[in-house]
This record gives sequence, C-alpha cells and structure tokens, in this order.
Amino acid sequence: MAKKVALLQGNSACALGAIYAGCKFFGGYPITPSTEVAEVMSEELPKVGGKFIQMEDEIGAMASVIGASLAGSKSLTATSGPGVSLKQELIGYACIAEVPCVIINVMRGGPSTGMPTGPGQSDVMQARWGTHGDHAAIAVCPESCQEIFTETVRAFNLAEKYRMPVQVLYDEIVGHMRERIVFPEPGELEIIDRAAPTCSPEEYKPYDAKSDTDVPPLAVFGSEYRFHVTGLNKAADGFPTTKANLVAFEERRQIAKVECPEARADIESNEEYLTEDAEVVIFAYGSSARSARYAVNKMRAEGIKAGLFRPITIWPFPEKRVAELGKQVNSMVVVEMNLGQMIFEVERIVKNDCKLAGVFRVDGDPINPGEIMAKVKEVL
Amino acid sequence: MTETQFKNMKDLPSKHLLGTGTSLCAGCGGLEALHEIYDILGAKSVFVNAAGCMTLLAVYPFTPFRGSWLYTAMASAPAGAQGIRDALDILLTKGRIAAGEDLETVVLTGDGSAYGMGLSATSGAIERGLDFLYICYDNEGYGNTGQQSSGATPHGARTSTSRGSSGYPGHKKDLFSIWVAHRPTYVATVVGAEPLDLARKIEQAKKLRGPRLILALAPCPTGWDFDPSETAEIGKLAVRTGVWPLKEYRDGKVVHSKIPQRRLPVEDYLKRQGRFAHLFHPQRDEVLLQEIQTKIDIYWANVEG
Repeated sequence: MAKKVALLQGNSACALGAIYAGCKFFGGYPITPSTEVAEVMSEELPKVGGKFIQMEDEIGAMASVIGASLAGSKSLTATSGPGVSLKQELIGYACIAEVPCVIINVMRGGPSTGMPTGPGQSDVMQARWGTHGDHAAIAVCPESCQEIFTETVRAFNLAEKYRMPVQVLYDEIVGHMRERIVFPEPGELEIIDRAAPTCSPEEYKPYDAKSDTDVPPLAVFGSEYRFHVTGLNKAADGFPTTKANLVAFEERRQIAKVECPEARADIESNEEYLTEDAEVVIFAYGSSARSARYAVNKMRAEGIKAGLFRPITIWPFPEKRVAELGKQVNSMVVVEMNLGQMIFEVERIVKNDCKLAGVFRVDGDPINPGEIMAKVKEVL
Repeated sequence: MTETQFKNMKDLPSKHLLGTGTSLCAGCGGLEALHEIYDILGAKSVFVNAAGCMTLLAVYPFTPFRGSWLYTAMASAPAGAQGIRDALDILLTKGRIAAGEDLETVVLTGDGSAYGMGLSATSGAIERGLDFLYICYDNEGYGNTGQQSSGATPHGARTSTSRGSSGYPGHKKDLFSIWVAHRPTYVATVVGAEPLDLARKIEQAKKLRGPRLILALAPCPTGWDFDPSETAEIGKLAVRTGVWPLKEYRDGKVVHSKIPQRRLPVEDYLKRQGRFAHLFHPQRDEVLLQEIQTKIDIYWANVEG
C-alpha cells in the first residue's frame, strides 16, 4: 500500500509528529513563528481524545504541561524567543523534578522581540544553559519538515525514557517552509513510554535510583501510587532535604543519566556527508546545514575535499565524534545563524588539532553557500 | 456628566495628532479609538506598549506619535510605566523639567496583555496608586498572531484556536469589574464609534491623577471577519444591542454613560461577523444564541433595576 504523503509546513509536521508519538496534551500561548503548532494541535488533539488548552501566558503553558505529564499524558508546548525565556524557571523545574515533556522552540532573531518573522539559531546555548542551576539537557535540531516530524517523535521518546524535558529547536525557515512529508505507518517508528513502577504503592519512591545513572520509574497521579513532587532538592522518596550526601547524589545522577557513555550513545544522532576523506569539515545544524551541504557539493566539484558534519542531537554535544574529526581534518568551519555559539563547543573539543573558523549571520537572511565556500577557501 | 467642553459632535477636534499611513489593517477599530483618544490627550504623553497590533504602528523610520514610545515585555507595560513616572517625578522635584513639560504616562496594550499576562502588573500599579493612564484596545483575541482566543474572547466566537462548532467555550472576563475592584481613580469603557462619549471620558481621565484605566472595544475586520468599511457600524451595534455597555467608575460608583433605549437583539450584532457565522449556518444554534441574549438581558435588568 502506498504511503500517505502531504505537502506540509514544518510547524504542522511538528504537531502531527507529536500526535504520532502519542501526545495527548498541549498547553500553549500564541507567539510567532511557532503559533501554527498550537493551531494544528487545537484541531488534532480532540480527534485522538487529547486536550488542547491555550493558557494565559508562557509560564502557565509550561506549568500545565508539567501537571499533565505527571497525571499521565505525554505533553507538549511550543513557543519562540521571549516565550522560551519565560519558560526557563519551569524547564529547570522539570529537570529537577524529572518530569517528561517536550518543548518546541521555533527559533527567531533575538534577544527580546528581535525579528519575530525572521529565522535565527541564537537559542542553542539557551537550550543548554537557559535555566539556572546545574542540569543535563537534551535538545535536537531538525533541518527539514520530514525531520521535524521524526525528531518530534524522538524527542518524546527521549523525554519518556530519560524522564526529563527535551527541547526541539528549529528555525523559522524550517518552521514556515512547506515540503513533502511521507507519513510513517503506525508502528513504523519506535514509540517509547515511560517506565511504570513494578513495586507496590506502599514501597514506591519516585526517585528511587538503582545506580548513579539510573532513571527511576514514574507513577501517575490518580493511580494508586501517591507521591510528592517538588522543585526543592529532594531524596529518593521525593521529600525535600538539605542532607549533603543525598543532594549531591541526586544532582550528579540527574546529569549522569544523560551524560554517561551509554546514554550519550543512545541520545546522539549525527549526519555525516562526505567526511570520510575530508580535509575540511563544515559543522552545521538546522537549516544552515542545507546551505552547507550545497556548498560541499560545489566544492567537491572543484576538487576541494569538503564534508559536512551535522549534529541532529545538539545536546548533549557530540564530543567524541567531533574530537575524532578534529584530528582528521585540516580545518573546521562552523556555520550558524548567530554570532558564534556552538563554535565555542567545537573549540572546546578540537582545541588546536585543526584550524577553526566560523560563518555567522544574524540579519534575518539565511546563510548562503557562497559565504561558506568563501570562508573555506580562506582557511584551507 | 460633569463639566465638559465636548457638548456635541462639532466640539470634537477636527485635526488629528496621530500620523496617518500606519501599517495596521484597514478599518482597525483600535486605531479609530486611539486616534480619538490621542487628540484629547495631547502630544505631551509618553506611551508604554506591550506586544500586540499597535506595536506595528512604527515602521522604519517613522512613528505616528508626537512623542516617545517604550515597547516593553508582554507582561510588564504597567511596570515599565512605573519606572517612567517615578523618574519623571525625580526630574520635576529637581527642577530639571517644568511642571508644564511633564508627560502623561500612557500604557497602551491589547486585550491579550491586559486581560491575561499583564494583569498582575496592572494590579500592582493600581495598588501602588501609580499616576498613569491605561488604554486597552480590546479586539477580543490575539490579533497580531492571527486571532487566537484570549481572556477577552466572547463565548461562542470562533478563533484560530477555537474552531469547533460552538466556538470559544470560555466566557469573556469582566475586566472592567476586575479593575474597579482595585478602586482606582477612574475606569471607563469606550468605543471609537461613539466619539463624543469617548472624548468626554478621556477629558475626565486627563483631569484626574492616579490610576486611570480605559477599556476600548476595538472591532477588528481581520479577526472578526467583517468588511473594513463596517467598523463604525459594528461598534455602534455593540452599544445598541447592549453587548458593550458604556460606563465609567469614579468615586466608588459605576455610572452608565449611555443606556441603549429599545435594545436591539444581539443577533443584529452577531450575524454581521464571520466569527459568529456558525451560530447561523448551516442551521441556527438556538441554544447558544439564547444563552448569549439572556446574559445581556440579565446584565441590563440589573442596571435598569
């Protein structure tokens, strides 16, 4: 049977990906350029027995998502720019309380209102360090409408598996662009649901970790399991504590559950294009990677051994592979629609192993292949 | 009505202070009200805005205003006004500006901010007795992002996030009463289509000090789906059907400035707007229509005693 295809906007693809992943709750607030995610969810969720709600502000939207997740629904919110800033306190809350949820950030220019209808990639560091306190982060960055669909599904899977907020970052170009989408059949993509407790309600502790990288099972409000959730530092039973050993164990575990080698290998996802024999590798993500791929093809035709490294998971940062490439190549060129953010991560990893340069742009226009090629020829 | 220089229509200003050629939609009821309000307020005012349609009034490199403008965060316009007012007071105290050079601090936001995200900041500003004028242009939805529902959306209206057969399930917040409950100096409702009533109220507000808040119904051709040439008519119908009561609060009392005689049925207002089309097609939703009419009848029964 032929697969279902459609011409869809990136924001619509995101909403339909969420539905595919089993999302049953959306709490949102209108903000350009992410509003269409909310609009499509307002139509699609009632069809699957879910609930769409528009909240009084961005903070309320994030709080409702955390509440809905604890009461058993896979939950989503979508926002942009200032909306992401407003959600930061509760994103940190979802980290420490270990509440699975997905946050879509359709990136526009900034800071503040910036250019609401223009693209940007200047929230990538905010996705890592936007909320206060030590915490792990998982963020993915799709480059096409099809990938928005599949990465939204994967974001839900990671949120459920690692019991934490996961951010999907794509810029306004991909959010508002329309492309052909091939819908996966039900069951074709893996769907992960959070682990449920197997112990009795009396024995249940919401943060009862079996190891220092463990993700404990999460019960559901409204079931026979009763538990206490707080933004305070807490012990295994969920109750607040200031005991140094308990606080230190929990703080470290919540980072290690994402950054231990096994988890990194599971969460990381990169695309490599012609990197095998590359002398220069372009590091690019999101829509900028599309220009970079075009530039690679043009340069290969000219005899320049260029390749593309595209992190699809941007957090945790693909340290191992970037370090290997740094040793292999003569130069790396980081391409991003900001004034230099991920380049500092690349620099941290490759150190002096290769030459490093950046192509940055924040004027609302996408980075074009010509700019990338000029920079490569300059550094090679 | 207390002493007024606006006895009839010919007393209204004949020249507009606000520049023309802004990028707002044709037939914007919010802009209509702002034009009329600014004429009475005068050029010595500084505006504090939160994200909304009116944020688009300035287009590089022009502004239609005669004075300064601060566009601040969605939740914070009255808090921004606090800073401006306090610093102006410091300048006055130090003699750095003369009393005649003082500026009226005016908050200008849509209903998205006023009814929702900015309500806490408004509450704080009134509680502190801030000397400012708040103008909310109420087009009953988030017009700037494509008319999603807001706390001001009327029951049953279709918006881009309430597209079901019954429209918006919630009920429009009574922001007038919420503001009044704070006991500020002055609160009034206006609509651009009743310019004499509006002028008298802004005249009143201008004479007073302390928190003064104006709620302006802003018929919105784009979001409400009617022809831009009908804005004034829709505004008048809102008053004549009793949907939009014109009233003011002062000295602890609410007084209606215009009680519609022989109120028209609310249908006359609803059926002119695409956002209520589902109440009439494919068949009439008698239950919902009656519910809307009954609410209005109860309101006016209480007013008329």
